[in-house]
Amino acid sequence: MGTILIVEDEMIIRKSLCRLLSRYDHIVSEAESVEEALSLYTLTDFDLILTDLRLPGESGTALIAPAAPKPVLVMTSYASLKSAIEAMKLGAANYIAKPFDHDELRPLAQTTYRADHTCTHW
Amino acid sequence: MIIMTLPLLALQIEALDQLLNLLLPHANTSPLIFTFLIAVGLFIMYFGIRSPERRYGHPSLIGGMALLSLVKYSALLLLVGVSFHRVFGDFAALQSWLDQNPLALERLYSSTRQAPWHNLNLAFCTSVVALPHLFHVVLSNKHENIKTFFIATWAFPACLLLVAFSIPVVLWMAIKLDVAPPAEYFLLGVAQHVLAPWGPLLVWLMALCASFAVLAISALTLSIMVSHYWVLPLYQPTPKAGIYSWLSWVKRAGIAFFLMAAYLFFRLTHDTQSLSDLVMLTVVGMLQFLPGIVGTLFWPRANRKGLLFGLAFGFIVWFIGLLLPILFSSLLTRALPFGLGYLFTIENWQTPAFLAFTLNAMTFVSLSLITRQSPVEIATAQNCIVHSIRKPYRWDISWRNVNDLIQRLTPALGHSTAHREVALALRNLGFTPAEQRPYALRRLRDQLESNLSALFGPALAQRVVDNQLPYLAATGHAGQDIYYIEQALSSYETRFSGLADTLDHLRRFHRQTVLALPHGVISLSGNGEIIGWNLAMERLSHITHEQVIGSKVQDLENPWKDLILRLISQAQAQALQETVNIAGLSHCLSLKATDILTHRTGKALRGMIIAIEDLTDIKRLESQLAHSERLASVGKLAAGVAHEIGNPLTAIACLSQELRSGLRTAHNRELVEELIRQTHRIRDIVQSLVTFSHSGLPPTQRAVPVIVSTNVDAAIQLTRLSDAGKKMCFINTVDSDLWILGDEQKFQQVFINVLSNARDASTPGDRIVVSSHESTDETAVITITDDGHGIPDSIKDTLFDPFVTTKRPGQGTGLGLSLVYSIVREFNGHIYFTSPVNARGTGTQVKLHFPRFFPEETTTPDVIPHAHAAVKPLTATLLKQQVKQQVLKQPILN
Repeated sequence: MGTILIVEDEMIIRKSLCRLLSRYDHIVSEAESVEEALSLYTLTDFDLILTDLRLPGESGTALIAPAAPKPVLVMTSYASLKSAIEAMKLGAANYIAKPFDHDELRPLAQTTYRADHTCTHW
Repeated sequence: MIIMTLPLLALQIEALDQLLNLLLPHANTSPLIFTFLIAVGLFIMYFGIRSPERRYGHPSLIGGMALLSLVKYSALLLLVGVSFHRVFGDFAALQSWLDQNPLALERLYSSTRQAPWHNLNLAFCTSVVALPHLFHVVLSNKHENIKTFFIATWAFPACLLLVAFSIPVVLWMAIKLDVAPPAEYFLLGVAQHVLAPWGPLLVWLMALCASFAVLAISALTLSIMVSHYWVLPLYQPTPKAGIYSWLSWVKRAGIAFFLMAAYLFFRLTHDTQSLSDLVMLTVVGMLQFLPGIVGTLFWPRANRKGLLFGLAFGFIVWFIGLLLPILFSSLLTRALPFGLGYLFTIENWQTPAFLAFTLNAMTFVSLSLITRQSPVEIATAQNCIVHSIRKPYRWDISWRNVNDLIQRLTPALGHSTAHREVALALRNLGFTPAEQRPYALRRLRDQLESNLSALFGPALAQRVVDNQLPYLAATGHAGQDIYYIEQALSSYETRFSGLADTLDHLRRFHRQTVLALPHGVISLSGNGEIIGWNLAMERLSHITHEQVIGSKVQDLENPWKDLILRLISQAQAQALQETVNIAGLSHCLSLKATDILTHRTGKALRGMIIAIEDLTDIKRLESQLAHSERLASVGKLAAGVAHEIGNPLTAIACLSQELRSGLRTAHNRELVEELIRQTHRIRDIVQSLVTFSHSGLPPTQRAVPVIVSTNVDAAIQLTRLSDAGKKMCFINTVDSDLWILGDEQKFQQVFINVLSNARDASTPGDRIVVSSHESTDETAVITITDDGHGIPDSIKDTLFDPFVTTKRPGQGTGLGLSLVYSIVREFNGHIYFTSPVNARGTGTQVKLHFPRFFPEETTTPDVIPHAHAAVKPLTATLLKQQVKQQVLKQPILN
């Protein structure tokens, strides 16, 4: 369906997410930090970037600017909900709280990048 | 004294007689004079003998005297003024007349040169004080009002000076008119010349007034003196007979006696002596008392021996040198050979007068200096010195209350008299009959003694009081009655000057310092009497210093009695910290005691100072601070934990969900479902923790007006949804006009939490009442009351801590009240718990305080301050309410 980049330092979560999204025909790439994501990929190539907020090194929100106009979906744990809102203010397309239900994440990811597509085509 | 006064009385009669003679040259004056004397006697017997109730000064007597004096002085001034105008015209005329007649001035001076005029001046000025009638008036009114006494000390001599000024004028007028009568009656002569016919009458009226007043008061005074000092000490009536009427009769008899004696003396000297001789006789006699009076009033060293011997010498000289010659001058001159008789003629009066006075004064001073005073005399001397403060000592007393006092006085005074006297003394002092303080009872004793001495004279009064109400033999040295001295000093107010003024300033400063100290201060004397009780102490104890000063510690109300006794009994560490109940409120007090030793005149006086600090507010603030600190650190921990748990929990959740989609058997799927449910549970806990710690939730951006009543209704409906909730009876009586500012959802969370706690604590059918009747204009107070099982003591202190719950595992996380607490503080509210609240010892009441909002206010604050940044300090009202309900910090048991 679309291309998605997952940036997440916890390997188990990252792999699990990869498996989930691949199952629904997304083309998934992965990175474990902002630095790695920027060095390995051109962010604008993806339809959606799904990133954890708290990452080793730079925060996930650092990806918002390089990825523009592509949408960035931020995952947060409860403890950093406040910063999730900060992230939205910085331009994140949406956020989802951890832990999340798969049934919750999948449609959110799809609507996010679809909405974004329509936006970019205006 | 009596003999010395007689010439004065005789003089009055003599003057009247002479005047009558001059006015009516051929009439027989004796019956007139006698009638006059009887009138004086009746007047003074009726008005002068005081009723026991009004001891100091009979108003009608004083009024009468004042009228007489007024008539006298105005008549004199009128006469002198009018005749001066008629004779000379004005002062210029007088001056020119004096210039033309230097002889007149010369005569004035020559008489001065002839006699040692200044001696006589001195004698006149000072003996005024010693004349019995003046002494009586001055001193008997002194008690009433010290101020009038001081006014009298200058006003009276001023009046005399005014009178004295008119004398040379009268003299000159008489010389100019060349009037006939002897010098003493110049005024009459002038009046006859110039102002006939009403002038002489006025003069006579004036003289009548003057002699009436002098005779009346002198006779009264002398009779009182005689009855107090002679009759009463020698013979005392039995207590049962009416003491008061008996005393009155003694005094009346005395008055009659003295008037008669005066008349006799008048007849004796009538034909031989002139007025001025009689005056001289009295004045010189009275002069003998001057050293005694001045000495006892202003010189503490004066003692009895000096006084008596001085008086005796002076009196003897006066008797031989003046009285005898006046009475028997012709006889003596003839009887004594070699011209010795000349010494005893009245023309030579100044020698014996001077001799008598000098001898008297020297004997008095030297004997007083040589001999030693007895302690009694020292104390009495202290009392007599006008400008020193009485220094009563705190002797121990054996009577415990007013009734006891009356009982003890009864044998001496009779029951009714004792009753009346004690009642009078109580009234004088402004005490109530319930008085038990040793200080008051001592003052009462003093007052009784002073009242009785007005009745019986000091000698007898002292004897009665000493016999019936003896002080206990002092076990140690009795301290001075500081409180009494303090009060006496304060009454002097601005009358200090110089060093005394500076010292008084210093005293006031120190006193004010102690009084205004923010801590309670109690001073105790060595024998356990309270001698100091400052303002902070009054506020703390609701006992004023008037109620308590002078009483023993044992007579104090609890808890003070127990506290102080316990503090004193501790041998070493004289400090105590205690929570006590004062007027229904619990106070935490810190008491510290210090021994004080003052050294005064070589004796060490023991005492104790107790400082009492009310730590209630500090303790409460401390515990509140500790509580919020604890909650804050718990919040930080929770946030950290939430974050750390977040990742592994997410991993587990992800993996479980993957696993679920791959599983085929229903049983295994069921297991994985359970796994996922447990991750949800963990997630909820973590969510609550984060909410509580506030680190994860956005602050409320806008506070909006919320109608409490509606909000509560919604919360009740939600609470009712559960099975248990359906069986409860929720009653919402919150005023529909009660508004508060905040977030509707968050308030609902608060009410739901509190209501479900109430629901869970109650049994089916119980009532849960929400009301707002305690609200004020500033504060919205919402109370939620249930009849449930209440809050266990074990968790009362940790009510708002996370994970505190009485519910079984799985039924509640113990985070509900923590959440409530956070929300309430976020909107500047407070939450209080009381449990139990009803007579059965069950039930819980939750009070929520929020700043009240009125919808009329046009501006609603855009942003309400973040909870942690703007928790308002507790207001005084809130603190009070908090104490009143004995707040229990309690979490709700979610």
